[in-house]
Amino acid sequence: MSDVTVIGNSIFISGNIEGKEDLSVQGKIEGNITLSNTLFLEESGVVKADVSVKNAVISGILVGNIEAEESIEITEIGQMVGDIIAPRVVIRDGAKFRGNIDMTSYENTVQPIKKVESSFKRPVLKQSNSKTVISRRTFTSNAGSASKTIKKDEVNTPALNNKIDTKESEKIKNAVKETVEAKKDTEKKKELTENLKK
Amino acid sequence: MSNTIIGQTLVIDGEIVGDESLTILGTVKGRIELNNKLLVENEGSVEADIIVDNITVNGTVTGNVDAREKIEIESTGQMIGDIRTPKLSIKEGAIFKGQIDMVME
Repeated sequence: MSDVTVIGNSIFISGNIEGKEDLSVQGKIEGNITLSNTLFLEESGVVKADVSVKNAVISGILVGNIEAEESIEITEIGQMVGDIIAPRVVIRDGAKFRGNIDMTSYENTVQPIKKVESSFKRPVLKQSNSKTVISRRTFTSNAGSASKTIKKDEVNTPALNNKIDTKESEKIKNAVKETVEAKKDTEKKKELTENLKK
Repeated sequence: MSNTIIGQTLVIDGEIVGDESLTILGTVKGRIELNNKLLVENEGSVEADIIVDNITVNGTVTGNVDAREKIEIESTGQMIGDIRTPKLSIKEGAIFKGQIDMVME
């Protein structure tokens, strides 16, 4: 219910209409209509406006320019005077229309994006090699970093070895000192004993 | 008579004139003139001078209202503006600011 707006038979609106839902017009509208959804102009509906919508189905009378993101359909009972810009236009047998139709300019504004998308997709296949190259590069770079880390490890481990060496050397030094001191003690004892003998 | 509905996401800036009942869930700015009933739902927001037969306000209305029969401001309704009507009901919880002129006949 809330997604359907109905402008009834006897209603006349002059002004701007903006919205994000379907709009069904059975009455009269003068002004601008901007919708991000579908405009249904019913048999009894009369719109004198510049219209910008996603889709439009015209069974009533439309006077003004209309621009649609997707498609415009003028049904058997529809009447329109004005210019159409839309990628897809359907004019049913029995419809009345006077004006210009441009099915390319909207494509020119819209399709380049699609083309860009497709051109993105195609290069994905072509560039897959280059991508793999890039990935290889990344791999190599990773490998480089890995080797760097390994190098770092290698750098680190000698440092640790050095540290261990220093510790061990300190131990050795201490041991040497102890032995030296022990020797000194023994010498002192010897001297003392000699002195005592004397 | 078919009922006209202005949906939630719709914004109308201008004038609405008609003979049938109108339900507003969206936003209307400008002027509304109806020979019928106007219903402003909870989500509805109206900034307009209004001339109608009946009006029921569940949402927000800012502007002067001239009703030929009745104005009802429901408990969720908010209304700022001057009122002219023979019958008026303001429910508990409703918010109203403005002048009231109840037409004596």
